[in-house]
Amino acid sequence: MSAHLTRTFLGISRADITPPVGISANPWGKSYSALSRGVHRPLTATAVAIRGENSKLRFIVGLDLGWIGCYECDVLNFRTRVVRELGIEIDDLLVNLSQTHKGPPFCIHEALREGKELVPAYIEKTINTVISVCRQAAANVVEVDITWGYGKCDLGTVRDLVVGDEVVVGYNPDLRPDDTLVVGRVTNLSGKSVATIVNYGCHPTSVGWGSDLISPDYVGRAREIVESATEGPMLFLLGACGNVAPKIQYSADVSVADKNGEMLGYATLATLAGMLPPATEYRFHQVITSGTNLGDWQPVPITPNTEISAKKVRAKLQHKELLDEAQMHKLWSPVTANETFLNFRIRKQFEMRIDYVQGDGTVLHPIWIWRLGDAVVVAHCGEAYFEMAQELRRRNPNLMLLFLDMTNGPGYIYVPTRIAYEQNTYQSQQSLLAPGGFESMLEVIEQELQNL
Amino acid sequence: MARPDLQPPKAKSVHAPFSATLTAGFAQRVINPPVGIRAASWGAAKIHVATGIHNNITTTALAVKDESGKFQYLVTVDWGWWQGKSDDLSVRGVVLKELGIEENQLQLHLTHTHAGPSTATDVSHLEGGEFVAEYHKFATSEIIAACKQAAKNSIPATITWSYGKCDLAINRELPCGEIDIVGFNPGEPADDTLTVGRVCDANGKIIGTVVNYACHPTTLAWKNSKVSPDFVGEARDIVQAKTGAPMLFLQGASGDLAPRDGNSGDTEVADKNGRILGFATLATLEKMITSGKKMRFLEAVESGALLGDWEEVENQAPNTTAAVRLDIEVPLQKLPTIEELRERWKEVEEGARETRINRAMKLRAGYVLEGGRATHPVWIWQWGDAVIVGQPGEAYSYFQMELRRRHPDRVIFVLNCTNGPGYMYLPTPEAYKRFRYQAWQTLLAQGGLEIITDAVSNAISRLPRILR
Repeated sequence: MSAHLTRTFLGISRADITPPVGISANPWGKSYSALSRGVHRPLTATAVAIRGENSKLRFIVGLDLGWIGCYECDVLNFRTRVVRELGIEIDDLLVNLSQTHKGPPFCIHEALREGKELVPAYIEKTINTVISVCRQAAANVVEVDITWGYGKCDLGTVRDLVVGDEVVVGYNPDLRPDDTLVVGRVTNLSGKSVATIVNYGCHPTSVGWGSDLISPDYVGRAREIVESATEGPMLFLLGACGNVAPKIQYSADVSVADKNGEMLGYATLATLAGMLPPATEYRFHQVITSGTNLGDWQPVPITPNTEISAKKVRAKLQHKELLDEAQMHKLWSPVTANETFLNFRIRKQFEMRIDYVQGDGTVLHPIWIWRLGDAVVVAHCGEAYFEMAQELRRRNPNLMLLFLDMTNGPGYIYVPTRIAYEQNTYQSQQSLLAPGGFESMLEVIEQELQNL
Repeated sequence: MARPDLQPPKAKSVHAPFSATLTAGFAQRVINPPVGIRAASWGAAKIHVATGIHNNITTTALAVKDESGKFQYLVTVDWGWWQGKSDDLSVRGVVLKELGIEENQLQLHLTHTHAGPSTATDVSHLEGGEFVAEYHKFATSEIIAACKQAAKNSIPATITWSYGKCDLAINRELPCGEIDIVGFNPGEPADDTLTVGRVCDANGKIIGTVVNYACHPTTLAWKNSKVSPDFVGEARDIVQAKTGAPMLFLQGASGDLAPRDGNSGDTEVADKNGRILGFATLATLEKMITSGKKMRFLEAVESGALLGDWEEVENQAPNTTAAVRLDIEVPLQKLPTIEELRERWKEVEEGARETRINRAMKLRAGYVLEGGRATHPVWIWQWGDAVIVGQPGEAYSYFQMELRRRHPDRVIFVLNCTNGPGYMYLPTPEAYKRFRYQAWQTLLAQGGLEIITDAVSNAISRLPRILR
C-alpha cells in the first residue's frame, strides 16, 4: 500500500497576534456593537518555512483572521512588505486566513465601527509579527518527514438552506457535505513531532453576533487538543468552504466554538493515530499459518518523495456584468446604514477588481500550486464550494491534495457551483464570476494536476 | 433584521436527533484473570498462557427498563468467543439464574479480543487451564454484580444516538491466487460506520456511552502473550477519561474487517489502534447536540448575508421499547462425520486432531437440530429511535451495512458474538467461492447470511414506528 510522504527541510514557528481588547472585532452585520470586551482564546500566526530546490525558501502562514478583501491592504501593504523583508518573491508566500468571524478587520478601510481606532496599529504590529514568525520558522528549518493522511471529520455541514423563495446561509440537514480532512504529520528524522498540518473546509462561524469576545472560533480548541497530544504546533489551513459551516453556529456562547473544535481536534488525532511510522509504506510480508492462513503486512522503510516545486497559474474566467459606481449608489443606498458604509462597500468593489478583472469580460483568478513531495497544495483566494476539492480528489486518488481557500489575493470572491447561481444563493450574488466559473476553474486546476 | 416572511416548509423546519428517554443505569467491573491462565487464541503462538496484563479486562452492564417495568441487560465482556453452548451457558446461564430473568432479557456480548483468557470449560488438563474454572466463577459473579449495580444505578435518562465515522477497520480478505487469506486488502473499502449512544441524566451529565464498531480485535496476535482487551481498552480509557462515565463497547459485524496494523506482539500498536477508535468516538460525541434538545429553524436574519438561524428547543424523545427474538431457519453445509473429520485431519498430530474434532462437535451442539436443521437466534431490542440487533455469529459487514441502508430512519446497533448458540461466521457468497477461512469454519451454507439479514430487516420494519 503506497503512502503519501514528503521529505524536505521545514521549520515552524508560532506567534500570538491577539489584538487588544476594545478593538473592533464583531464584523457581523447584525451585531449591535463591534467592540470587543474580552478574549475567548488567543489569535495566532503560524508560519511554516520550506527550503526547496536551490535552497529557495517558501512560506505558508496561517492567520487567525477573517478576510482582507482589499488589494491595497493585502497585496501592497501586507504581503509585498513581508516578502521584501524576507527577501523572497511574492508568490513564494501563501497566507491562509482561517476566516474567523470574531477577529479584527485586517483592512484599514474596513475599520468603520466601534474600536476602529485600534485597528491600524494592530495591523502594523501583526505585519511585523508575520515577518518575524516567518524568520523564526526559517531559522527552525530541519530535515523532516511529512506523513500525509486523509481522515474524516463531521464538523462541516452544507449551509445553503432554501426558505420560501430564497436560499439563506444556514444549516441544511438534507444535504451531504464533504467530510475529508487532510492531516500532515511532520517529524524530524529522529521521529520527534515537529508540527501538524491540518486542512479542512468549514466556515468558522460557530460564534455569531451575540458575543463580544475575540475568538479563533473552532480552530482554537482544535489546535489545543492536537498540540496537547503532539507537542509541535498545528498549522490550520482553511479548505474549500463556500457552502460549508458547522451545524451549530451563530452562537453567542463561545463554548459552541470549543465543542465544534473538539470535533476537528479529535478527528485529527484519530487520523494521526492511524498513520504508519515516518518514511515507511506497508508491504505484504508473508503468510503465517495459524488457525488459518494469515496475511502478515509490515511497514518497511522507503525513500520519501523530495520533490519541491511551485507554480502560479491564472485561470481565465468569465465575469458577470459589473456595476458602475452610479449603479452601486442607486442599488445600495437604500439598504446601507450610512454614507460611510456605502462608500466602503463601493470602494471594496473596485479593490476586488484590481489586477483581477480584465477588459475582455474575464477575470484572471490566481491559483498557486505547490508540490510538496507526494502532496500538492492548491491555493486560491476565493471561497470555493466544497465540491471543488471533492471532485479534484475524486479524479486524482493517488495525489494527496490540500485545497486552500482564503489564500493570498486577488480573487476575494465566492466560487459557487452553477446550481448555486440557479438558486440565487448569497454566494452567487457576492461573486464577480459568471455562472460556470467554478466549473472552468476546476478544469484549469485539473489540467495542472495532470501536468505535474 | 429578522425576516419572518421567510420560513422553510414545516416538515423541514425541525431537525430532531435520534434519541430515547428511558430508565437506564451503567456499571463496570474489572475482571482481570490471574497471570498464568490459559490464553490460547492463536495457532501460531508459542506461548499459551498469560504472562501479564496489558490493560484491564472488564465487564460493563447497561440496564434499561422496558415498558412492562422489567430490565433488559446489555452486557459486554472483554473476552474472545465461545466455542460451544456449554461454555456460553456456564456463564450466561448462571447470570440469568442469579438475576432471575428470562433469557430474552439479556444480551451477553463478547468484545472478541484475541488476547483474552480462555472461555472454554474443558481445558483444565492443558497448561494454564487449572486457573480457568475459578476465574470464570469470579468473572461470572462480577458480571452479575455489574448487572445488579446497573439496575440499582438506573435513573430517568435521555439517550442521543448518532452515527460517526472511524477509519480503524480495513478489509481483511486478501486474494492470493485461487483463494483469499486473512490479511489486509488495500483494494477493498471497509465499512467505517461508528455508532454511538450518549446516555445523560436530567442535567445533561453523561452517565455512560455505548459504542458499536466493527473491527476484529486482532492487533495483538501470536507474538503477544499478555492478556489484553486489544484496541478496545485504550479506546475505552480515552472516552471514559473525557466523559467520566463507563463506555460499553459492542463489537459489530466484523467477519471481514480487522485493523490494518495487526498481528502484532507490541501492545503499543493496540493502544494506537485504540486511539483511532477513541478519538473518533469523542468526535462523534461532540457532534451531538445538547441532551434532550432538537433543532428548530428560528428565523432568517439580515446580516452581511441573509442567514438562517436555528435554535435548540426541548425534544420529546421517544420512550418506546420493544423486544423480539427470532429463531431463523438457516441452511447448513454438508457436515462431515467424526470419522470423516479424522480422515481429513489424519496428518495432524493426534492430540491436536482430537482438539479440532472436539471443537467442531462443540460448535454443532445445541445448534444443529434433529434432521440436520438449524435455527440462528437473533435478539432485537428497540430503545426509542435505536435498534439493538444481537446475534452469536461473526457476521460479515454486509449485515450491518444492509440493515442500516434499509432502515435510515433508525440508528441500528449490530452486535456479533452475543448470546448463543451459533458461534460461527456468517459469510457472504463471495467467501464461499473464494474458499475463505470463514466459509469453512461456519456450519451455514451459502445464503444463510442473506436469509438472516432479510428476516431481521423484516422484524425491524414491524417494530413500533416513531414519528420524527
